[in-house]
Formats: sequence, C-alpha cells, structure tokens
Amino acid sequence: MRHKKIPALSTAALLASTSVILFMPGLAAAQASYVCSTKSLDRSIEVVQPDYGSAVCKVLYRKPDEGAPDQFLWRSNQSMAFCEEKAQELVASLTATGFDCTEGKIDAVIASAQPIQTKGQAPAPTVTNAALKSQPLAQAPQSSDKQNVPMGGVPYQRVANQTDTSWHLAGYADATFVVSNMDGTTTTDFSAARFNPGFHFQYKDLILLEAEAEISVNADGETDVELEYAQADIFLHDNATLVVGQFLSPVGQFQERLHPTWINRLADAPAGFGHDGVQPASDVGAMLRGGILIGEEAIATYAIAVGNGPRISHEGGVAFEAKGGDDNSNKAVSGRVGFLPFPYLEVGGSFLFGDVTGVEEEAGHDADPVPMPAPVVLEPTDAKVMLWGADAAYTRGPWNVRFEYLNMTRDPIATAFEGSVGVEMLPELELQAWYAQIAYRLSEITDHQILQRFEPVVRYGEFKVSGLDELAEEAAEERLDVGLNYWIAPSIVARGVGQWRDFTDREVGEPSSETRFLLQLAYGF
Amino acid sequence: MKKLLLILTGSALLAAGAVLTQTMAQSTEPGANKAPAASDGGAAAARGAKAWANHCSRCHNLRSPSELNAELWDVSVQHMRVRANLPGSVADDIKVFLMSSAMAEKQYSSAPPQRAATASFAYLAPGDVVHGKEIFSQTCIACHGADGKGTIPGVPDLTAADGRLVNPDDLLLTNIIKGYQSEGSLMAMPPMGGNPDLTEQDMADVLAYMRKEYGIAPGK
Repeated sequence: MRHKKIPALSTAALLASTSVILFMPGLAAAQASYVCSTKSLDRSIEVVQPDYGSAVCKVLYRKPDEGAPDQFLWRSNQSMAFCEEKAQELVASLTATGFDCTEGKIDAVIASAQPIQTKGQAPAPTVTNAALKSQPLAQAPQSSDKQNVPMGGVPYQRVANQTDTSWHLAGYADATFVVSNMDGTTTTDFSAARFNPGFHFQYKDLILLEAEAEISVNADGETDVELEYAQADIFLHDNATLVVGQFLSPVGQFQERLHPTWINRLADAPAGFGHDGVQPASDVGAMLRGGILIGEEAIATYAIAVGNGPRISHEGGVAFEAKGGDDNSNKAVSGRVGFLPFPYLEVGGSFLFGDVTGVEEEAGHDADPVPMPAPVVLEPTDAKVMLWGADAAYTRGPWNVRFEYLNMTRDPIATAFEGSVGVEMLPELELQAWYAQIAYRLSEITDHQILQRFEPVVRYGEFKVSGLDELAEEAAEERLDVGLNYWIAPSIVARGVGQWRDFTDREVGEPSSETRFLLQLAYGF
Repeated sequence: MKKLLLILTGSALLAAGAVLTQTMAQSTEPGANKAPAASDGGAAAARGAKAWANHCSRCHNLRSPSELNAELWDVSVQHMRVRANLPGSVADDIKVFLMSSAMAEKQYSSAPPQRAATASFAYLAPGDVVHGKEIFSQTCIACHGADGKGTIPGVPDLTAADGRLVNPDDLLLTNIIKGYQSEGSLMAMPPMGGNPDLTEQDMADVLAYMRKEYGIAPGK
C-alpha cells in the first residue's frame, strides 16, 4: 500500500469541493474516484451518478490547483461501465505524462489510496510540474496518447458548478444623428436613441426563454416600449427546436438575424425591409426549426411557423407585425429553408401564406376624420396573402455580400382604410423589395492598427408598390447607401452613411428625392 | 381548420423524420451512448473552433471568447443555436471551444507571476513538427487557416516574410501560451488556442511546425 502525500491546502480544497459535489443538487456520490498528482498539482477524476436526467453516469474532471472550473468530460445514457472505462483511460493518460494516480474516495485518499497501474505500465514517479513540462520529447506521450487526454473537454452539458438555471443579458443600443436635405430644405436631428435589452433564461439544456424589448424616445419626447419577441425554445432534438410565443419572423434574413444595428452593416434597414415594409417582422404562434449537418460542413436549415399572421394595415396594405390575437380563423403559415454547401455561402427561400380580413372602420390614430359615418354599402371581405422570397449570403474572410428579394401579393379586398369613406374595394396589391449589399474589411490589405478596422459598405435596393396609390406615394423608393464602418470592438461600431433616396411614385410637386447623412454609434452587448 | 391540421401533421412528420434520422445515425455509430460533443473532448474543441469561426461570422463579427465567462457562453450559444438554425451537435462543439477558451483566459490571467512576463522556454524539448502539425490542424487552423494566411478579419498572415514569425521563439511562445491581442486587432488569440489542456510542449511543437511549413526563421 502506498500512501500519497497531498499538499494540505490542495487536500482541503478537494475535500471541500467534494463535499459540495456530494451535496450538489442532481449529483449523487461519486461511484469511483481517483486523484492524480505531481509534486505541485492535484487533479481528480470521478465517476458520478446524476439523480436526474437521462444520463446514467458522468465523468467529472477537476483541477483545483489550476483555477479551472470543474468539467464533465463524458456521460453515458446507458452504461456505467462506459464512464468507468473513460475515467480509467484518463487516469492512464495522466499517469503516462508523469502524474501519480491513486484511487479511492477523496476523503479517504490519505488512508487507503491505492496506486493505479495500467496494463504493462509501472507506476510513474512523482515529478514536479516543471519537470513534467521539461521532460524530453522521447518520454512525452505519443500523439495517440495525447488524444486520450481530453483537450478542452468542457462539457456541452454544463459546468459542474452551474445551477440548473442560467441567464444572460444581451441586446444592443444605438444613437443616430441625421442630416437630411429634401428639395433644398436641410434638417438636422439627433434621432431617437434606442435600447434593446434581451434576456435569455436557460433551464438545463431543455428550455431557453428569451425576450427582447425595444425602448426608445419618439419625436414627441414620449418613451415607446415595444416587445420585439418573447419566446420559449424547447430543445426537442439535435435537429429540432420548438418555439412558442412571439417570435421574429423566419422569412428572409434581415429581420430575424441582421436588423440589430451592431450586426447591420449600415445605419438602417433596406427600403421595404423595415417597419411597414414587405418583410414580415414578427408573429405570435409556434414554430419548428433547426439545422441538419450534411457531411462535414454542409448544413440544411428549416423553419416552419404557424401564427396569427398579417392584418390589414391603416393604409389598406398588409401589416406583418405580431398581434396577440387573430382577425380571422385562418392561421398564417410561413417559413424558410436554407442550404449552406459551405459555411460561408448560404442560399435560402422563404414563403408566407395567410388571410387578412377587411375592417368596417379604420381605427388607426392617423386616420383622417370622417364627418359622418358613411352608409355601409360593402361588407368587409377576406383576402389571400401570398409571399415568397429568396436570399443569399457570402461571408468569407473580409467579404460580407448579401442579397434578398421578397414579393407579396394580396388579393382584392373590401375594407375601410385611412381616408376611406366606409368600406371600399381595394384592388390587388403587389409589393416587391430587394437589396444587394457588399462590405469589405480593410484588415485583409493592411496591418495598420487603425486602418484595418475600417469597413466600406455599399447597398442598393428598391421597394415597389402597385395597387395602392397612397402606400406607393409614401414608401416606394430606390435607395443607394454608401457607408464606412469603424469597428471599435467586434460588437461596437461607429459609422457614417450617405444615403440617396428617390421616391418613385410621388405626385407632381411633392419632394421626389432626399439626401441624408447619418452618423451612428451602435453597441451590441 | 383542415389546413391547420395539415400543417400541424406536416410539422410533426418533419420532426419525427429528423428524430428518426438522428436515431438511425446514432445506432450505427460505435459508442452510440456517448454524448455528441463531450464524448471526444479535444476533437470537440477543435471542431468547435472551426464551427465558431465559420458560423458565427455568417451574421456578425466574431466576438472574443474572453467577452463572456463559461456560464454565459453556455446560454448565449444556446440562443444562437436557435437563431442561426445550428444543429445541436455543432452548437455543442462551439460551446466546448468558447467555454474552454473562457476558462483558459481565466486560468492564465490569474496565473503565477512568472507567466506574466516573456518567459524562457529553454526547458522545453525541441519542437516536434509532426505533432505540431497535428495540433495546428486541430485547433489553430480555425482562425489561421491551413495556409497560415488567416480565415477571419484581423488575423495576421503567418506566411509574411516580415510577419509575426520573425519574432523570437520565447516571445511567440509567451504570446501563444498566454494569449495575445495584436495592436489594432479586434480580437485576442485565446491562451493555448482556446484549449486549456494543451501543454507548453504542444505549443512549442506548433511553433516548430509553422516555422518549417512557412519557411520563416526568427529574425536577428
């Protein structure tokens, strides 16, 4: 029997933390336990049996002297023998690299520790850490042995000292200064600063609850608070997550993934892709989504959602923003499929179909007053809404190249709308929006500590409206953006953007173009 | 109503198909009872480094592993798994890399003072080029690329004749082992390539491999 001397402080630390482990919710006592030491380092390997969950056993690896958090290296859902085998493999690997390993309960190590010997292997002498690192290469473990030592073996499950619930505050904020010139009239504004806190609450690896609010000050000095999304993500499977609640629409890429200002390469959304555009913003319902690895690198992605869907907008168009109720019994179905043959190239196709229902009276706060209720000569009707889109992204090295196209049609509908006299018949409405964008980081061509952080960006896009004159006059445009980003940090950017807008359906005499210059600071946290 | 039922049925079939596919795939793999990522420690970290470099930059700049601690990365990557439609196994690998890197940052930032300054690594054995290539292709390749020219913005070109590799070995090893952020670069290289279980000898092997592969000796 060989007694092993463990430094008092390290032993106390191991004993204390073993006590914590023994009483840690969800973990029963260790089924097997080993301590591997050099003169200056102690590590422990324990096979533990969780009280809950699908795992039969886990292998816990601890390095208290190195300040590293505890790690679960392996688990098995079927066999305790698997964990024991893995633990012994790790013991053998550490022994081969000069650690002196003993078995037994940690609190009994000093009294009853037994040296571990693997087949055909003599007990390794205890060596100092410095000696371990300075051992000649000939004595170092072969690469195959090195493979057996978990490298960076932090578990995907959780670190051992984590509670069942973890949370994370994320989000973004921005402030923008705008100089605008429209038909010779120049205005300057510090436009509304925004603060979008996002909360992520995770229970084990089962559910993630996430929500984001947008808090901003409007031009009248009032604070607006909007719920961007609030959803529960239930992880059903490696390739399937069920999302319920209010979620960002999976249609296209911009709204769901790119709209935060620290991710967006320019200061605002492309024409037709922001609020009141053709790209759905959010919905309330359920969504199934995920990705499937094909081969080593290719990934196919999918998202299919069922929700309350769009409604008729104030102008008689279609509003694609989440509502906590439906205007009809027909649920909207939307989704996107994507394919990444390589991680840096993504192509996708999106769709949405649903119904909108006409209203008897337009209740928007911007509605023109109607002196007297007009006699209802038409009953509101339903109309089909069909939307499809395509997108592509190339993101390799310094390049960030994107394209999106969306096309929506709404069938003729009888409805009241802003400025109408009672219910009127509106013809078929078609909306189209697209943009192409190229950004390039200068770090590819210069090592200069300032220049390499710059990123020029160009975007051109168009929003077309046919079938609704009021909306066309207000929103149809061609837009060119030329911007320059300076990345202060990976998620903090200062940018200047020149923007040239041509309003393509304005009435004669109305301003038909606008030139803007935007300065923006955006911070993702 | 019929349409809704059809949709729900279709969704259920899709989910069932995905589950079946995964189940069949698992049942044909040896050691199918292993957790997908934690079962192969080092390989998961290496895969995670590549997946992090590949997938996170699809939408936004790569954020330094040192921005969050391990627990926060756990939650954050779970969020990104949903948003980016990442397969769970890929998200798990990314977690392994980021959590390892965050732990390495913590470990080396609180390391004994002798690690703080440029150290002498004379006690290390001469670098093993073969093993160095193995480590490089597992971990370093994610950011530096197989050709050493860098795969993500801001990563220096290791093949440049006047680049990083002209520095003396001790300085380079100090930076590789402790982690390093170049002036002007947006992101730091994590200690030990984000893999805290690699050793100083492993790093010496990697350096030997890079010098041989790119043909650059230390400057005088």
